[in-house]
Amino acid sequence: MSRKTQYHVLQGRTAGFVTRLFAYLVDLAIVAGILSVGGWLAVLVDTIFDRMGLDPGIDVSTIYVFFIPFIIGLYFVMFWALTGRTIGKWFMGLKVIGENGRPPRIGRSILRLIGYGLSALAFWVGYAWVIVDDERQAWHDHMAKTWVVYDYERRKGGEVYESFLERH
Amino acid sequence: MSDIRDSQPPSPASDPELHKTIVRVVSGGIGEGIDRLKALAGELEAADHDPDSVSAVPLTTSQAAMVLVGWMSEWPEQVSAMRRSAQEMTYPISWLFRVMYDTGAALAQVSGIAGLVSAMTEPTRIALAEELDRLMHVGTAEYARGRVLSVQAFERSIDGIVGYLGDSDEVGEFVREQTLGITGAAVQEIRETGAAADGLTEGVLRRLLGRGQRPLPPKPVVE
Repeated sequence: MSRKTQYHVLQGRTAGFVTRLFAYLVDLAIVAGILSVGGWLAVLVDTIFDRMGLDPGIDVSTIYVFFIPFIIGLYFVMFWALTGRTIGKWFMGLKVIGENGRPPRIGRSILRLIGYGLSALAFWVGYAWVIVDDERQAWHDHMAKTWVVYDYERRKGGEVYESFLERH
Repeated sequence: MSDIRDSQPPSPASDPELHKTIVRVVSGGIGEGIDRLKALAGELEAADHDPDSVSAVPLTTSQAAMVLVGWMSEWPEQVSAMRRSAQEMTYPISWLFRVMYDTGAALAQVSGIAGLVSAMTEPTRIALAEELDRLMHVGTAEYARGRVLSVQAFERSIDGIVGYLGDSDEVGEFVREQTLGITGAAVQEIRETGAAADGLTEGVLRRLLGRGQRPLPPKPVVE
């Protein structure tokens, strides 16, 4: 058998570290953009209040800072629970699923978000766990009993190395 | 919906004005194209068309070109006139040629006859120069109109094409499909490269960490 072989089935297999990392970076960029726009608006409102001589007692920017974790959490939980994909995961062709093969529900999504935080707090070891885990699950996946799978069909006629096929 | 292709196009031969317009546009377009090429090459020089009258034959190249444009512009009339003249003049000309041939053969024996021949043909040469002069001025004017017309025609064509492309649903759909196709292919390439990198990275790092290969490939979770 040749070293290269036809390989069509990728959909439904658990995704590896590199793809997940790229999806994560795309999500981070999007969240950073959202937070920047939000911050700009908060400062704008503060400036308007200041020019109008209004003193609400606390800066909108300060309130906004407290809302930042909520905004980040909302972004991830909302996308996981609704479609199983954040924008980054959609871009990289990934999907988060539970044991039933469907996107996690809201409670499981929140649990996964908490796991996200723990994975990051441990110097991102929780994310890198994907590399050594036999089912390619990160810490947050273990906590929420979720898997991240490829969710696209490989192009017909596409070729991959046989060794790669064997390991997947 | 009526289509311009459904109607019979007017024939240039049957419509002298259309014929003139075509000659104008073609000659103007060629001139415009040549000038633009010259400009591109940095060799554009001042227009070398001599506006003065033709006072002698032979003509300069520019004058000859303008005469040709003028003649082409009046081609249907010229052809009709020539045909008419030829029909009317067949017998007198053949008679005249015969007389001229015989006379010329006789006079050729006499010295100093060249000046006499020249004096005899002077009216003909003047008439020819006048006709060429007229044609050259017609051609110059037609050429100038043609230059304007060709630029206008080009701009109108571009406007029409751009307008058509902008208004056409089919073109819009085609462009959209092509764009989506290219974007989709790029995204697919990134995904597949990522998937390949997953396996390679994991293989190398697991080996470094002494974990070996994963024992069993996990089954697809989604049917």
